[in-house]
Amino acid sequence: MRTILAGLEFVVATGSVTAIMGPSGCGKTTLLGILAGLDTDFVGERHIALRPDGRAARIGFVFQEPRLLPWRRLRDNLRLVLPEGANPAVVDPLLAEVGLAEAAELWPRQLSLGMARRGALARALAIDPDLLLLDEPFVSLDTATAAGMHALLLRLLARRAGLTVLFATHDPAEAALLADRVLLLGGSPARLRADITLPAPREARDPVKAGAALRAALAEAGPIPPSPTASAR
Amino acid sequence: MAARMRQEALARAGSLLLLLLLWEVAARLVGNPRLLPGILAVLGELVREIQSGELQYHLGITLLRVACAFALAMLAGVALGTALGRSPRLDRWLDAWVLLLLNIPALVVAALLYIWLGLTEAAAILAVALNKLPTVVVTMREGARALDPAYAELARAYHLSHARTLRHVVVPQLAPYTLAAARTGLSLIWKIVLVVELIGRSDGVGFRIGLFFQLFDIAGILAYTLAFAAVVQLIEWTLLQPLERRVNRWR
Repeated sequence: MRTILAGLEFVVATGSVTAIMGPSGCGKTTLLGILAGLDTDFVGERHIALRPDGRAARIGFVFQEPRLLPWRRLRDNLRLVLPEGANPAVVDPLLAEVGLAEAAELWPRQLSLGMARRGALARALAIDPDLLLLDEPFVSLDTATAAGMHALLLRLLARRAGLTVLFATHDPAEAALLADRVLLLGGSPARLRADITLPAPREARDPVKAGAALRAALAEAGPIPPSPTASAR
Repeated sequence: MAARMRQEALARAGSLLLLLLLWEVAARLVGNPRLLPGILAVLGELVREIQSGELQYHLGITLLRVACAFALAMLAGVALGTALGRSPRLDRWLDAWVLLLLNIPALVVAALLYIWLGLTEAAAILAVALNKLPTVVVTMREGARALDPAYAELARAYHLSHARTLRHVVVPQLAPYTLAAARTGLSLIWKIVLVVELIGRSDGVGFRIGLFFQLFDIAGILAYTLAFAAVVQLIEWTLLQPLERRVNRWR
């Protein structure tokens, strides 16, 4: 047994977007897993605010690999996660929203990585989440596709004011573009190395300047000792 | 696509024709219709057996036994195999039993069951099912071990109900294994059911072939073999292959 995260304490505001950064293998995925309730092997507490109607918050999770069920068509992949008794037609506008209306009847293996990622994002939104967790959702996409995904996510967020988002990334430019706040993890076990609030609002930022500023702020947090598991992930 | 399929069908038909041709040539070379009758003699026998209604009757009974034993072995085998694949503890306990059953000769199981349960239909069907069971268990155990934990995690992340997880996440992953188990199981059952009928039943293809054997009636044996082979092919083409295509259509 190895301790991956230690002494981690933070609160994120409802409706905010938080980027979780740190070297690969430092525990970003583990942290998201704990927040999602997937990983229960931890000591500590996690509180997630209830919905306005008093029910437990809904959590949408986008895994690093899209993880669509390959034996179900894209549309059925989205329908599958809807609550029992929900109207299955609600997934079609979502597919349209992420630009996959034409792909609804395709099998996941017929989709490009970018399309599959958008499909996984639409699936997470299909449950009408209060909290959206994204594990490196734009990794290994080419620059143009990643830029398209960034724009898409900003559009989606603009339409969902109360949605709280945490996403893992190792790209400061991406964090500077999308996030309100950056939590930097590092060390072994990983601790919170920096907590950076980015200037609001997102839309008013100049991506290049914001990226450079964030890089400088991250550098100021000091060199991060290399994670021993960086290659063992 | 269609052209390739037609080519494949042609090749299959051609290979079948070649086999019949070899048979006929061999029969002519042997020159003794009692030892190796030609195609026409066997077809004549086949027609006579159909006209008398014997073939339909015995073949029907054998098929019924095959269906019962197959269903029994698949149901029990899928449940047990999946359980063993999911629970290493259970597997440690039952693995030796499965191995034992896998290696007991079909005849031993049949003889024991006939002695214990009498020469009954239940004993016959159980004997066939028990012979097939361990191969299904072993195949399904492999399948259950190969279940991808990533999809189980997905099911948990989205709070899918047990029923939905089973139907959309587990069953599709097990489907290729179930199909493989059905395939190999069916071919095994064809081989066993006749033996079981031969030693303990007074109807069915196995009983009929036993009768022909005592009379050295090779034409009769071959006529039933032909009918049997035709039924097996028919099941393969109309049931197993379409099912396989459906299960694999997402690949």
